[in-house]
Amino acid sequence: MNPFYAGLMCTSLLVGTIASLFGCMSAVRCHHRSAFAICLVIALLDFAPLAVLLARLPESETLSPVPWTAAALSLTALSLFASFTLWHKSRRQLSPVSIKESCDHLPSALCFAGENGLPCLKNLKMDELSHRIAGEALMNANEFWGAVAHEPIVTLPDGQTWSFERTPLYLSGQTVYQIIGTNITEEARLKRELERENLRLEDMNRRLRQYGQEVQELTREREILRAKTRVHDEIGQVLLQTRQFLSGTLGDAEGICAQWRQNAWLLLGKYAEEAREDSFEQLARAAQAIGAAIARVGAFPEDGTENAHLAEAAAHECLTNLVRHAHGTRLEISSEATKIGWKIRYINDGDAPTGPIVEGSGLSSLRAQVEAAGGEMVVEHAPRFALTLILPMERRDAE
Amino acid sequence: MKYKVMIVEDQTMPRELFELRIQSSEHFETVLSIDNASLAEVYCLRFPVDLILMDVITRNGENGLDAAARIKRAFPQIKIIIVTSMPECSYLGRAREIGVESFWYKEEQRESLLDVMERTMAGESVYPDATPEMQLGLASSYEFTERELEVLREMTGGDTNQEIAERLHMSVATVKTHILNMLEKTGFRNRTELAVRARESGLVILNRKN
Repeated sequence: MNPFYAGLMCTSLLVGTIASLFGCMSAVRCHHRSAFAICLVIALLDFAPLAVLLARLPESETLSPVPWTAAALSLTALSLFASFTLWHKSRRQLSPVSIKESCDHLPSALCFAGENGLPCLKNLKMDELSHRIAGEALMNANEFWGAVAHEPIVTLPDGQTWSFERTPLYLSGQTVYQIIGTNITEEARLKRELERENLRLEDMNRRLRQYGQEVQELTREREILRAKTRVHDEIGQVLLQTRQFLSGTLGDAEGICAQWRQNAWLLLGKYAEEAREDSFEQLARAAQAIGAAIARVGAFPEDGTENAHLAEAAAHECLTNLVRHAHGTRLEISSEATKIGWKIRYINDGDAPTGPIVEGSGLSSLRAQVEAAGGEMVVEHAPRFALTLILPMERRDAE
Repeated sequence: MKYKVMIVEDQTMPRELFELRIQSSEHFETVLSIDNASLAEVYCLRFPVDLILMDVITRNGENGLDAAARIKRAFPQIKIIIVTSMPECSYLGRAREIGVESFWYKEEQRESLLDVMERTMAGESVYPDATPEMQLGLASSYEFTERELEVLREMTGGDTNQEIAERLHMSVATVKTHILNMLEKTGFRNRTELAVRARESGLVILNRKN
């Protein structure tokens, strides 16, 4: 074997040794002990002939090229094969280090811990947040969760908002707790904006409702104004007719006087609004006009409330039935505020019903209204007609 | 013999004007003038009434159409004329549905009230062809669809799109589309302006009492 050929053999064996060592590193990354041992043996097998060849290099002429070539090529090939196989395998397997590295690059904070709170895996973001929230890196996941559990959405002094969530995972018979922190700064900002918008909208809707009630009055005022304008026009016409009459050209005195009387009657004290009675007083006055009386005993829901409206509707219905069917003249209404709500009872002095009351459109419509308001309506026919309403307290009543 | 008329009108001035018109007629006389529609039925129990002039929105927010429905059930022989200044489009349909004989717009003077009363007592049913046309922003009231008007009516109650959708059994997206269409037609800047102007004009009136 000439020196050049011996040098080539040495190079081949050196490549094989380096490849075997590289294979050893890959085996370590894969946590593959047997592979590590095999690679180490191959490295030694490569290194041993390399060392012998290097030692006998000055006398290389005496060496037979065939066994050395066979040994160098086969060992180098074996080393390269082992190294490539392990490198390829290591690339397809996740190592704890690569998992940790990947977790550290996540934008979210992440921590896995056992039941005792000791973390098995946590990323840098979790440590950073733990520092900012609890004042130290995350050493015990249970303690950290205890600090944020009562309010898992945390806003940091720099305005960032983080949402934390803990989920138990069951792995190989063990419970592992996963804590994830998500940056929801943008969502929190949008939520605050939405809340502000909703408040503004609610205020606007409230004002719209109020306006809806006021506009009714405005419309009435407008109607009055139109009526006044009409009277004004009519007075203008009468004035014209009076002038024509006085100049002796047209008209009759009696007709003109009648028109003056009409307009004066309209104008004298008729613009004043009548005193407002409450609904019950109006109903009582109507009852009186048709020869009946309404007597009220006890405390009643405040006028203007839904309960007052229902109580009045029931009084209305009972009064109508009293006059039309029972031929009576007196409706008695007693009311009291009980623990379950208003209890309002209607009885009359009319003829007792001959059998169970068949609820017509009036009573059934009243029942529907009462039930829609969360109340109850009971109709009795014996020993005499009685209607009882149980109405839940409204906020205004309770106040 | 004169026909006996009951006037249900909560404003003194229009009520007096009705009374004056009736006073000047040979065929009618006023037997009663009241300001609360819900009491009309009670008075009918004792007072002989042939015809009622019924305003729609009366004292305490009582609705004349609801009162008319009750009277028609209890006293079908009594004829009723709805008199209103409100161009609310649903009133005409509701009045027909109830069986009210005639309908007269206070502001529309094409036919006098007395003529309508006489024709009604002669057995005719006198209704205007349509609600008075009115302008809402850039749009005529005739440009709105029935469904749009329903949404508009609910909007005046200050409800959210979700609440309107639930009440009218439609999707929130449909409610939004109707509102956008109405905003486009009227040229108003936002829904609040649309609701306020609509309510102000009387084109839609929300009655949640019953």
